Amino acid sequence: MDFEQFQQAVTECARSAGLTRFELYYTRETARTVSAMEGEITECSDDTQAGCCFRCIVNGRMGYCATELFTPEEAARIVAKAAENAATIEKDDPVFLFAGSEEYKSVPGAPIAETDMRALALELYGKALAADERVQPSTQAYVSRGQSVIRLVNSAGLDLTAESTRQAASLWAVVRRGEEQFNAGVFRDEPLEQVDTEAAAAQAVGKAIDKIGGESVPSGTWPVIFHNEAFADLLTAFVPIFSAKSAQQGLSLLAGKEGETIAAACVTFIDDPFRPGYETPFDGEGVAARVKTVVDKGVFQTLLYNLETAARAGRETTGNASRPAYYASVGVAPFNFYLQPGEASPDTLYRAIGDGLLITELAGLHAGLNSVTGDFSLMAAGYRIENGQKGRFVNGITVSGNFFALLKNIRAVGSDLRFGAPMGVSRIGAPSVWAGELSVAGQ
Amino acid sequence: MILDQTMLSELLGIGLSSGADFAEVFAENTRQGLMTLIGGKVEDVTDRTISGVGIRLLRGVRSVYASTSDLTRSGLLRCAREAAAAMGEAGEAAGVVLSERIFPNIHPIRRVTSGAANADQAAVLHLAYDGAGAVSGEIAQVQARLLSWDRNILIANSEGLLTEDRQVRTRLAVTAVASDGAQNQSGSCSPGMHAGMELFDAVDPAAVGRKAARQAVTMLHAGYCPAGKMTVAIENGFGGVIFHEACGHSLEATSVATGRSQFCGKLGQVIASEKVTAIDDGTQPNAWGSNNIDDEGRPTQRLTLIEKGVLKNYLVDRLGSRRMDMEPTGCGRREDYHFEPTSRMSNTYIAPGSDDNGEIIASMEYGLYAKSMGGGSVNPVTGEFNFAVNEGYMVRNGAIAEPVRGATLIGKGSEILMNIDRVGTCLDSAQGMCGSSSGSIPVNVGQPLIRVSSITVGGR
Repeated sequence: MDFEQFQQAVTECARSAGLTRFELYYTRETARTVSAMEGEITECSDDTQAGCCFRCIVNGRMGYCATELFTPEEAARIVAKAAENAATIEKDDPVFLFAGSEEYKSVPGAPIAETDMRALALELYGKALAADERVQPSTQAYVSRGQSVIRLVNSAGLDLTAESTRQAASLWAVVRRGEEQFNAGVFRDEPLEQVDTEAAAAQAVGKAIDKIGGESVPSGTWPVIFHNEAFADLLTAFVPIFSAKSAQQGLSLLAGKEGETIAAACVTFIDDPFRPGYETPFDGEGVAARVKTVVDKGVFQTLLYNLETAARAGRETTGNASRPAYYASVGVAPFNFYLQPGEASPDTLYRAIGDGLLITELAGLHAGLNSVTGDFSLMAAGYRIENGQKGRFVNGITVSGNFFALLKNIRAVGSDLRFGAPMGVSRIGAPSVWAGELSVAGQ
Repeated sequence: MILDQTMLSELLGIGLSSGADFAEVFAENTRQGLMTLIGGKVEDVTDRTISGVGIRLLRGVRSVYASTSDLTRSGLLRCAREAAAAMGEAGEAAGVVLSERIFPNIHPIRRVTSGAANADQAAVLHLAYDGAGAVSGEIAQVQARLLSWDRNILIANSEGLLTEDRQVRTRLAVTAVASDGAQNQSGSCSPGMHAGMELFDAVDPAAVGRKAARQAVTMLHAGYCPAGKMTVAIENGFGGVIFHEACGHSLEATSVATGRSQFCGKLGQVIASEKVTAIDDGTQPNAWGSNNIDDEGRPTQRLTLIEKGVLKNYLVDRLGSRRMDMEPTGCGRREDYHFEPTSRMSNTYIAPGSDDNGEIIASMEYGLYAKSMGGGSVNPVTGEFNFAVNEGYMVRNGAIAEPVRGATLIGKGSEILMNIDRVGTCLDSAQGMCGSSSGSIPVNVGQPLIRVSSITVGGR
C-alpha cells in the first residue's frame, strides 16, 4: 500500500471505531551516501524510510501509535492501539488538533543539481592526500544527498505538505607522525555544487597537522574563546532550556524569567524558520512558522511553545512544536536557532583576549553536561592564544562551568556565524564567542 | 510473509549478479514502546513499528547497502537492483540455495512487555515515581520511562544461511530533580535486561526511584569537584564505562581494520596493567547486551579481549575479517535495518581481581571516589576518551569524605589502562546505549571497584 491507500484505510478504521478527532503525520525520506577511502569508493548506501504516526483524542486524552508497515491489518492495529494508549494517559492538560493557520509562507523549491557524488567524494579524498605527505589513505570523505516529504492531515481539516532536501559533504583527514596518528574533520551542510574541495581539504588536513605535537596546559582558570563550531555544539546541547515544555516540567531554570536579564548585553538569540535554504513553513502541529527573538540584548523574551504548553501558559503558541522523528510525540524545538553575530572578526577577539585558550572542539556533550542544572564539564581541544595570536595546539584538557553563568559573562560575540549539523528538526548556529573565564583541567 | 525463501533467494541472486562476492538480506520487524510518567501522571504513551529490509553486498572490501521500508514485491526488487547497480553491472541473476538454521535460545522471555497491559506498565512507573518522591521534600520533579522492544530479525546470505531471532528488551529509566529554588541537581538510575516484564521480579521499581532521588539530593548539597590530575577510585557497575571508552571501541574492527585505532598491530603486546583482564561476552543469559546471534547471523561468544594486560583479541565483524584476515567473532551489530552492521561490544567488563575494596580506598591519601558514572566518548585514532562522573566523593587520608558534583574524566586509553593499579573482587554491570557508525545499540558495561593511579579530573 502507498500512503494514500494507507491513509484511507486508517481513516476508515478510525471512523468505524467512533473516533472523531485524529491525525496522521507521514514522512518519507530518501538518502544516498557515498564514501571514498584508500583511493576508491568503498561504501555506498541508499535508504528509503516511510513512516506514519496516527494520534487520536479519546475522552480528552491523546494517544499515539506509529508504523512503517503499510498494510490493512496494521492500519486497524494502530488505530486500536492509539485509542488504548490514549486511555492510559493520566495528565489532564487540554489537547489539540490544529485546524490550520490563516496563511503559510511559501517556501521556494530547491532543485538539486545533478552533482556526481562519487566524483566529489574522490575529489575531496584526492585533494586531502595531495595536501601533505603525512596524510594517510584511511582518510575518508563522505557525500550525502536526500529528500524528505512531510504530510500532515487531520480531522479538523488540516492538510499540509512540505518537501525539503538535504545535502552534505564531510572529510576526515588522518595524518601520521611516526607511531602516532591524528585526525580532524570538516563538515559542509550545503548544496554539493558549492563545495570547495580545495578549501575543505586544506582545512581538514591543516587542522589534523596542527594537532601533531599538541600539549595540555596547567589546570586553572583561563580566559576562553569558543570557536563558532564549538559554541554551536554547546548551544545545541543547552537549547532545551528555552523549551516551555522543559520549563513547565521543572526541568529548566528559565521558568518564569521572561523580562529578566539572563545574558550579557551582546547576546541576542533568534529562531528563524525561514533561513534561506533551510526553510520550514509549519511546525510539527501545522502551525505556521514565524521568526522570533528569544533573547534580546541579554533580556529573555520568550520560551518556545507548542499548542499544549502555550495553553497552559495562557498565551499563543510560538509555532515551535517539534516531531524529531515520525514516531515521536509532539515536543518543542527551535528550527534555525542562532546567536546573532557581532562585529568583531575572530582575529579581533584573539587580540582583545590577549592571552587565553581558543576552544575548537568539545566532546562528551551527551554525557558531560546537564541542561536541567546548566553544569558542563567537557573534554576539549583547541589552541593557545598568546599575545593576541593563535599559537600551538592544546589537547588533554577539560573545560567546566555553568551555562547560565557563562551567558551572563560573555565578553564579546564574533562575526563568523556558522551553523552546525542538523539535530532532529533543529539547526543551531553561533559565531565565535569570548566567554570570559572558565575552569580548565589539564596538567 | 512476503519474504519467503523464494523471494530471499531471488534478492540474493540479484545482488550477486552485480559481481559482488557476498550478499545478505537483513529483515526486521520491531515493536518499540515508550511510556512516560512525569509529575505523577502518565503523560505520553507511544508505540512504533520498525519494519524494513537492508540488502548488503560485498566485493573484496567494498560494500554497498540499500535499505527500504517498502516491503512490497516491487519495493524489495527495486532495493536489490539499486544495490546491484551501485556495485556493478547487473548480470545474470542466479538463485541462492538457502538452508534454514535455528540457533539455541539462551534468553528465554517469560512475559513479553509489548503484550503486557498498559495498566501494568503504568503501575511500574508509579512505583518508581512514588519511591523517588518519598526520599525528600527537595525532590522537585521525577520522570520515569518504561521502554520496551520486541525485535524480530531474519538474516539470509549468499553462503546459504537463513536464520531468525527474536529479542525482547525492557528498561526502566528514572531521572529525579532536586531543587532548592535557585539551583537544580539531578540523579538517575536506568536498569534494563534482555527480558520482558519479569525484569521487575529482579528489579524493584521503587528502589530505582529512590536511588535516582538520593543521588539528586546528595548532589544538591555537594560542592564542586576540584580540577587536575589525581588518583581516582571508580565504583563497580557503570564504572565499566572507563574500559568501554578507553579501550573497548579501539578494539573494534570498525577502527582497527582501517588502521584507525591506537591499538592496531598490538596483538600479543602489553597494553594494560597486569591487573587488567577484560572480556566481552554476548552470551550472558538475559543480559542487556546479549543476543543469541549477531546481526550477521553468527552466534555470539565470550571473548577475552585482554588477559593480565596482554591484548588477546579484537572484536571482528564480517567486513573487518576481510581486511584483517581474522575470523569474525560474532559481534556484527546494528541499530536497525537502516544501518550496515559493524563490530560492536555486547557485555564488556573488567574481570574481578583480588584487591580489597576497603584497602583500595584506604590507599588513597587524596583523590576522588567516583560512585556513579554517566556516558562518554572516544576518538579511537588517538585514544583520547572521556566519561562523566555524575556522583563523586573526595577521598582524604584514606577515607571517603564530602560529596562533590560531577566532573568529566579524560585521558588517553593507552596511558590510562596502564594506570589501573587496583582491581577489586566484586563485579557488577550496568546498562547503557552505545553509539557508533551502525547506530545506537544496548550494551552492558561492568567492572569491580578499580583504582586509577592518575587521571585528569575536569572539575572547577
